[in-house]
Amino acid sequence: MTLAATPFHARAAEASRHNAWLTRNGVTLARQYESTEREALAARLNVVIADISWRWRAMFEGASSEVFLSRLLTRDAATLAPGQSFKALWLSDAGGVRGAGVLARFGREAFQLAASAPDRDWIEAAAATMGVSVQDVSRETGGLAIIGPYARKTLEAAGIDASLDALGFRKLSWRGTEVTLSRWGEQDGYEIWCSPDDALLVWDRLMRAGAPFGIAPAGIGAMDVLDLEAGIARPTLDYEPAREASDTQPMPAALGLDSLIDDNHHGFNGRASLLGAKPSRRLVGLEIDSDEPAPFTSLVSNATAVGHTLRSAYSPALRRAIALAMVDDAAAVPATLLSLTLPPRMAAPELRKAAARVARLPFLDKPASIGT
Amino acid sequence: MTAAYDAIVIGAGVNGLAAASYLAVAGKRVLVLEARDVPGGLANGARTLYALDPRVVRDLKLARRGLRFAVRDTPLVGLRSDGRHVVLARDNYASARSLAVHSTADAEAWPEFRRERFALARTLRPLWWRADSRATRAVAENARVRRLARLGTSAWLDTWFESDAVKAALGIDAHALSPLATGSALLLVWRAAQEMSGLQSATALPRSDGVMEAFVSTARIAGVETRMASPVSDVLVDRDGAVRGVALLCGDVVSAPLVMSSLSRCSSLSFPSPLAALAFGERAALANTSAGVQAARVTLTLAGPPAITGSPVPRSGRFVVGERLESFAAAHAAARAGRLPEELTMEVTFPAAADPAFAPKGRHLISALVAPLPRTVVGGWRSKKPLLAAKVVAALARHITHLSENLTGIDVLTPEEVRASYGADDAFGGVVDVTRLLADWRARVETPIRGLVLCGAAADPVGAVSGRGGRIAAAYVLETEGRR
Amino acid sequence: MRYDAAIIGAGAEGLAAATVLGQAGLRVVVIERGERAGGRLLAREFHPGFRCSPFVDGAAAIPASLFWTLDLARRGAFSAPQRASFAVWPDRRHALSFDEADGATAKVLAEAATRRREIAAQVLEAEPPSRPLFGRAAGRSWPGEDWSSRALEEVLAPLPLDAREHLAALALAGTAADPFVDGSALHLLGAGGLHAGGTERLAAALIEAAKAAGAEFSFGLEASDLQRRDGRITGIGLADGSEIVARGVISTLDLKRTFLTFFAWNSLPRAVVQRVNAFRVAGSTARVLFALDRLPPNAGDETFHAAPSLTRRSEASQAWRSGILAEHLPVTLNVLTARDPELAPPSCAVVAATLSATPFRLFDGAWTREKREHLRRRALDAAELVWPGFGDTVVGAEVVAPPDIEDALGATDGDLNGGEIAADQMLGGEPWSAEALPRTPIAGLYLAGSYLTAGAFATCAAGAAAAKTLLADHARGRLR
Repeated sequence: MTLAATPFHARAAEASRHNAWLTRNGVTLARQYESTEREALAARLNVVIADISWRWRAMFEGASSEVFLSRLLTRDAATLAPGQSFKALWLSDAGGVRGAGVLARFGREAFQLAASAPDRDWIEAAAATMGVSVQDVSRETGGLAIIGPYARKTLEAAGIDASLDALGFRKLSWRGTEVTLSRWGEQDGYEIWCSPDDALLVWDRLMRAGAPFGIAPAGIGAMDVLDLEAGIARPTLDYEPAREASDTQPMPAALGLDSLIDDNHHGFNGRASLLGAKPSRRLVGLEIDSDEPAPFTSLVSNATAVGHTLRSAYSPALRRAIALAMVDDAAAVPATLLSLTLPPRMAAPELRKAAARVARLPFLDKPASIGT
Repeated sequence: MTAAYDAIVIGAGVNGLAAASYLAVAGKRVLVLEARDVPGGLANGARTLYALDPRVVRDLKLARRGLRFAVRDTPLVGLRSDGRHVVLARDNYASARSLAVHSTADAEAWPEFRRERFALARTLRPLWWRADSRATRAVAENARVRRLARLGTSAWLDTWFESDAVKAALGIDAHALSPLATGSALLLVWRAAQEMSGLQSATALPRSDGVMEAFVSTARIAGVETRMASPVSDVLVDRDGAVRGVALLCGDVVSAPLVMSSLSRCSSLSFPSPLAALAFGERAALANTSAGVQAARVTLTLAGPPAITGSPVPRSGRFVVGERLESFAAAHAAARAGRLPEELTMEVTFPAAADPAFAPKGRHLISALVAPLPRTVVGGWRSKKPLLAAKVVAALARHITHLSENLTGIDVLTPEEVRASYGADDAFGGVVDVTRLLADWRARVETPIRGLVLCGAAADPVGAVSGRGGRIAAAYVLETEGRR
Repeated sequence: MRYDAAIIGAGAEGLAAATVLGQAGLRVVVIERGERAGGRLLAREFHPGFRCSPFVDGAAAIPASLFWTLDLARRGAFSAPQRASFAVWPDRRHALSFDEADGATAKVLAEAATRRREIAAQVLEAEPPSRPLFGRAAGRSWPGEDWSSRALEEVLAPLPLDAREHLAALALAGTAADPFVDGSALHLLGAGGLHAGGTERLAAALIEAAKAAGAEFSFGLEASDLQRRDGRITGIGLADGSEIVARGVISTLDLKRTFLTFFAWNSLPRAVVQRVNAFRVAGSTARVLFALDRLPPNAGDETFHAAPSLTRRSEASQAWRSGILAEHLPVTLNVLTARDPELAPPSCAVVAATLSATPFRLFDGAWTREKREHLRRRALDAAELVWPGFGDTVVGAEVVAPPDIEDALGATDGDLNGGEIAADQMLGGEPWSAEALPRTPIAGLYLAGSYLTAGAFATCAAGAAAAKTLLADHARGRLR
């Protein structure tokens, strides 16, 4: 049996206090090093590094790659100059959301699409119809996210020029090591991508530079909490994306993702079905009157089912459990009170109800770095 | 096989004999086992008894059996180093006059304080004196009691008085706890409850006033069998966790379904069989029990009658040596640290003053109860004994003229020796705290072992030689039986 | 200027009260004699380039429900539970991880946390006037009650020795309580409290919340007297002679200061005077602030207790009662820059030492330079024990003695808790005979000092409770 480890695994293993691991996209990652709550708060108070090598990255090269990507994504790849990126969706034939990610243009004929969940087979098949080859480069580089108010100061203390616009990226030579610095993440932080051989060196340098700011590694659990607090719903992880060509659900508007669709971009897959379609349910945030999360449970208002929760977790910043949820339009007004049933636990096997209040997303502002 | 007796009582002290008498009067066959050669336990070491339970005195008709009270209305006298002694007696105005020397405000406050204190005592007495659970509930809901339970002695007295004189004198009654400890104010109320018993602080002298004779003959007349010099080695427990008798050190076994123990809770449960029958949590709790306040008993013999310097004081009374309330706090702290306190706090009596017949020709006694003291002292009590004696003499010499010259003998019983002689762990039958002071009476008497009941000082909220423990334990036994 | 309510003191309690009142639509003004709001949470420069709060390293947990009402998370204040604490002796160390404590230690910590939560819940739910705060209604006890009559040493007895010393040091930091005396277990309710990431952040969030709720502020002028007519409060007089009209006044000053400052003795009922006199304050905290040119090694945001010893603490407590500076004052150290790197220049650090059992009034006179030097030496020795070589990295130090705390914060005797933590004074132990706190016998005056309503264990709870009481009275037309 082999353990699919990320390039940072050795350091992660040293830092792990509880041997708490999980697998995402086939690789083993620390769920928490010490405690998810503490790590999530550290991202808001100090600075954390998180292993993001699990993110799916695919390279598209060749003359037709730009055309293909414009057809695939809800924004026009032609608008990107080398060194620029944007966030976009890709849809099923019927307009349902299949995936969301960041497209970065490395060169005239080289693009990288990065997403939290892979959609390999379908994209490869689609690309093949246009003569474009797709290469999965997820294992070729390791990635660390640096998030928190002192992220920029940490990088500068480590000797990296951290002036970079949001969604920007650039290659640089960092004291002899070739890395890419980017700002593709959702938390207004930075990412460093490096070759697997340099991974431990990069980790050590960052931990040393960030020591005066209280730097600590954060596990997937903490990152998921931050994403939840930012109101981000991720395909596969948080909701079922469209899988069949005929799937119209989930609709971009229902997930609040229509900002990722360029209205002036006409040629993308699934556009025709989008026009005129109105979702009956919308993505909202819920503040639950409980410390326990309530994922994937039904929501009730006046004895009628009005929706269901998606992902839910305890937010240490808000000191309450929160959840993303899909609810009927009528119930989607902020401050509406709904009711849900908490999942039973060994210590509390009986059914317990809790109140939940609809909240505007995002729950909290991102832990933006000082100086950015 | 039928049990030889209905009940076995361990310890022929005042409490044990009281318990035995109550049961025997109710028709039970009772055997009392005493480890020493003579009955009496701690009463033998005491020079004065002022805490006898009035109901015991009445129910057992002890007066008919020879009990006499030497003095009624024993006053409390606070000896001050400047000679301006404080006399607190039943007479409010005399006490106030005595206090006025130190502070007019205190003199004014005294009658009201006394009233409040006795009102509280009236409220709390049912909890302490009656074997009745409704009393517990009523007291628990009483706002004034709850408020008092949060007060320390010094916090409470500071709201009434400003001079050290009165606070230090009253402090002796609360010395089972440090005056800073939460709830220690309840001890002052306890003392007041005893004073208002109808015996009004009556003092009995064990040897001369036939206290023990009264108890012993009452028991005998009721049909109690007593065996001296019969130390118990184990309380036997059957497989279901119920008592079935005791084993004696000499090897005899006596069977009975009920065993009443005058020992402390800790000692009673530490016999091999009960200990083995305890649940884990109870065992751990037992292991964590610390002993309560320790005391030394010092007797000084003088060639002539002692003369107290300073302002005039009554001839008989309870005399308190302790300059300030903080002296008691410091003594508690020193005792915890295993050190002799710098300033000894003690209660002194002059037995001959109460009854001239008490002192043999030409010998006058001073009896001092020195508390709090450490259980074990750095260096060992044997080595510290002379130092303790010297400190007692020095402390008393400040108040008694020509003490050193008149001193013909001094006898010191260190806490260690008190324990060894009388089989008691400490001065009060266990740690005194708010929990014990406000606990339901049954909780003081019951043990996790069915049929093993506490009847000694531990059964009292503040253990003393009173007989109350025995009375309440007997009430428990008869009530539980009646229900079966 | 006419207001519905005026609040004296713009510290955490005052700001919380202002927010609650403002959110309910009342016109509120907060009167602060300093130049800025924030009270003890504000950082001040004690050495060029180095800042920190001279008084506290953090704040006790704000109850979750209040955290929501004040919307503090969205204002940037987060409750970050402390990770760990260390006790350091010359020959050994003991680490206490709050997340991973096990056995008896975990049990005590969990119990303390549960009781703290329950107390805060009771404080905040109390609906005056029909249901008084605690203890007076039939048999209603408060969740800390059984600890209030036990000795700390007794409650900690099941723990291994090092853990016992450690947890006792944690609970009693800054106080003069004797761990062997019954009643000292109450301090466990304050142990392991939550710390916001830097006290200034919390202050900023609270100020923002108050402003967002519409509260107005008056800075720079001390409230000098309370005006009354027919036994009711009518307004506040400021130091410059101007007046603020308000029917309801919440004072966040401690009990003694409120009554001694604002009323003439002969104008108060005798019962009030007596009670105020009997109220005990226990100023016992001193601080020594160090500016370092280097980071102490291996120092995260953990607290360090220097050679804690129950017996030494008991001795120190005895000495404190007599106004003596004990030889071995207990010391607790925090590396403040670990939580807030902005407090010092890059690569530099701020370490704050908190000394316990420091008397406000010394038996032999004033706080001379020599006495302050004694405190500094003591703190330095403690820091040397934890970080050998500490002394070489110190570039500046400042001593804050109890009188300094009194001067700066208006806290009687320099008591940061506003009163001795004892069962008869806290929570259910009301100092008034007939009134339920936060009300006072003076109609229209409410107390929000942290001592009375669990404030020592729950920041902002006292202010919020006072505000709710005022609101209830306002709704019933009692404040005309």
